[in-house]
Amino acid sequence: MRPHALLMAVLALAAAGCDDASTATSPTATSPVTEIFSGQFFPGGTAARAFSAASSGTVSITLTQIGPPADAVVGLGVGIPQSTGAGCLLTQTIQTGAASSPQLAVPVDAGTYCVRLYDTGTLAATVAFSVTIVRP
Amino acid sequence: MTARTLTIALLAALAAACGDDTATSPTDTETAATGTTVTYTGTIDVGGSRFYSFTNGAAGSVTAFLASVTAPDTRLPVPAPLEIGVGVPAGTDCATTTTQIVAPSLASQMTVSLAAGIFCLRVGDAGELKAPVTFAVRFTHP
Repeated sequence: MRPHALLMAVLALAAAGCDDASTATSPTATSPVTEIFSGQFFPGGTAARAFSAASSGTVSITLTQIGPPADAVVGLGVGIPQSTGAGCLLTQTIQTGAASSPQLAVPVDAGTYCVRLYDTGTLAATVAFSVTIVRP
Repeated sequence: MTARTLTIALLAALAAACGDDTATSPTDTETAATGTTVTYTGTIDVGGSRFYSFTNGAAGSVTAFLASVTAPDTRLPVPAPLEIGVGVPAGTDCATTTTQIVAPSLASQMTVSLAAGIFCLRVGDAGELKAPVTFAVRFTHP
């Protein structure tokens, strides 16, 4: 290998090493965390999911999709999980259709909470849903 | 059964029925470095209350919030505040030293500094219940 080529190889290795070091020290955002809860439920039914807040802060919950029909309205609530793991003891609820901004925003301590969807008596058929949960 | 025996039996039955306060067990506990977190659930009648006794392993703060007040049949929230309090067990009741009337929340509503020892958390009707409700209180103690 000629001296010029050797110098280029050394410089390339040095540059690669700098990139690795930069990547390793970049901070990683851990909060807030966004998670999606999706599925379907039957007329008269309910769906619930537990989630954790790593620290105190605000939990925002958005029912982004429900239906068909697209204008379906259901109950959306937040609370704490039952100890049996089945169900959600509700703190606050709202009757709502799909939206792009949070329908529920509640301050929480660090801990385990849950979101629950339920039929308010208006569903005629099974609906699919998607809920976005943003938590500390 | 003699008249005296019958009287004693009746008095015992009345004493058991009179107290709305009932010490009950929580349905869920978690222990972590920050303390023990208890989720205390139960049902309160109109004018009634319930309490839960716990042991502070060390002096420190107890934090609590009323997480849920719902109708037993629909399991949907009821717009009625409840009184929560912390105190010391006294016979069949909990003698509270700190109380607060609160609506359901998921963030701490009460913080009380306590010594090590045995204490109790009491949940009761604040005068606005029209029917029995199911409640859930989450609290953390040392």
